[in-house]
Amino acid sequence: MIISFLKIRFKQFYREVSALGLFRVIFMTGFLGFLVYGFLAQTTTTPDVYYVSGFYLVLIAALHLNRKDKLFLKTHFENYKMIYGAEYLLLTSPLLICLLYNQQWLSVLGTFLLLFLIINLNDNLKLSRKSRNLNTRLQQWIPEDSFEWKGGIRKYLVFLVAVWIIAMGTSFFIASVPIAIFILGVLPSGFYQECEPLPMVMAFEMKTNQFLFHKIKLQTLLFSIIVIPLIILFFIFHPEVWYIAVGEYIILVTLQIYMIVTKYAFYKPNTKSPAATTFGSVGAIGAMIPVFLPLVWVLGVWFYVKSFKNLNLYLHDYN
Amino acid sequence: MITIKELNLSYGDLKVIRSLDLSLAENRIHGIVGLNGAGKTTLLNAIYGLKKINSGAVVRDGAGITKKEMSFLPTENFFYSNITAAEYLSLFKNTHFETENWNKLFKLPLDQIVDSYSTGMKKKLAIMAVIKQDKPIMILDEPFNSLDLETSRVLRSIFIRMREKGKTLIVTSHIIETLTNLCDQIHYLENGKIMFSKEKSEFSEFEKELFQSIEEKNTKLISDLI
Repeated sequence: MIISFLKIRFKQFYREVSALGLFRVIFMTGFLGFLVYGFLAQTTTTPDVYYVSGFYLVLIAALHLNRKDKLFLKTHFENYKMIYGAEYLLLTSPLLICLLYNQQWLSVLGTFLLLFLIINLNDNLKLSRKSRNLNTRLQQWIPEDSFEWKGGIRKYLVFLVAVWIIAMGTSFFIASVPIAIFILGVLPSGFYQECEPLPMVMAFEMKTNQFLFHKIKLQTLLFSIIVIPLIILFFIFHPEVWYIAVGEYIILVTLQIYMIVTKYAFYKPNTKSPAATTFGSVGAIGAMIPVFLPLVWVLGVWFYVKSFKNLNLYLHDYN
Repeated sequence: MITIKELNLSYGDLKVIRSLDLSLAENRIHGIVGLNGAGKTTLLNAIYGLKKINSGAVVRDGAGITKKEMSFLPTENFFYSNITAAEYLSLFKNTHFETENWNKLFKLPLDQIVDSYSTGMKKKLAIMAVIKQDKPIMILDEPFNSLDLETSRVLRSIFIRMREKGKTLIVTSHIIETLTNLCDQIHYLENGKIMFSKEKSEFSEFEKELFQSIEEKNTKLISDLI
């Protein structure tokens, strides 16, 4: 049963990869090769190995909590936890190979234990359930057109407000504001992962470039409203390094623009494009490892052209 | 008059619409009926411009038809996660549309997040959005699917009233009775071609013939199987 299920998964994976096209597959292979090399290098020493393993397992846990086929697996397969286990073992294999190669036995054991815990997490556990139901006054202040922010704020409101308040209160520490700006910048770029249904694109009744600029304008405006008070506090308490906050703000704005154009470059109504998700993760990595930023910017320009062409199918009547 | 000329559309090697010709007079309700896989949804997507056509054209009064003139209801209705129905409707700009009054007909909890809606409630919300767009041509793919009895009757009355107000409606269904109760003209689609079109006065005869041919085709097969 598990073997036939994994065969289906491989077929799905093959179809997704085929849909990416040769150029992107070569690009992604190189990129993943670089990441695996990074893992290999980071798993040689402690405590780095614990950070890398922890980060990897947090991603697996997030995947487990957000997967949509849990009910299907539960109702169709008695040994659905074995299926989770087999899948996560496969996904964790690059990390495990690196750990085994570097003889990090404690981390190997820890990874297996945590995988076991993830598999046995309550299937109905949803960390964001409470905030999902929030229908606060804040939603009314967000422009009607910005449904991404209305939905995103509803989901992450408590977390975002907590980060903002803590950053305000501790802004006299030099690291406090930059960390908060980073979190407040990266999280909203995740609001653009989902492709909205077509009527929501058509509702704008705008030309293609107008539509894209409108989205970028709204995103930049809302992000700026949140972080500018923090940047002002940073200027007051740390005027000698004022450029850190400004530089970070500019980089995050470009990353958010990248996320928007990536989404619309691969936009298909009601879907989550694998290509957009893959390139979106390149953007996320760019936020964490600045050496990738030039690549993100170049891709951003390319995706702007691509999103223009892609959206033309739907919006060309308004051009 | 909306005219579809020599329309061809394929998915890879699979030809779905084959040299389809169809004339749709305006201010009428047109039904498109056909078996599953006949090409109804593809035809509507082609009219609305969601699929690139291989050849042919869709024109309105001699000029290419544009999305500005049409609103579209897809078969399956998806919404952006974590937004409320009211937020969804607010995206469509129409100052004359009185959401609260229209909602007396649809009875939706507009302040609730759409993710928590049932399939039927999502359909009602999508229909409200189509009505709010107030376009002269309404393309509706299976609008009655998942609706309860009361809403189906209400919707039928709304569509007839819209026709009276000058709108053109193109409605698909795989259930013939839905269309005979509503439409002014029904077009039968088979293997990507319109086989024939029937006027209201011919509906009962058409329905009888259609059921008879289906029964003739399948009765023996069923009795062999069961």
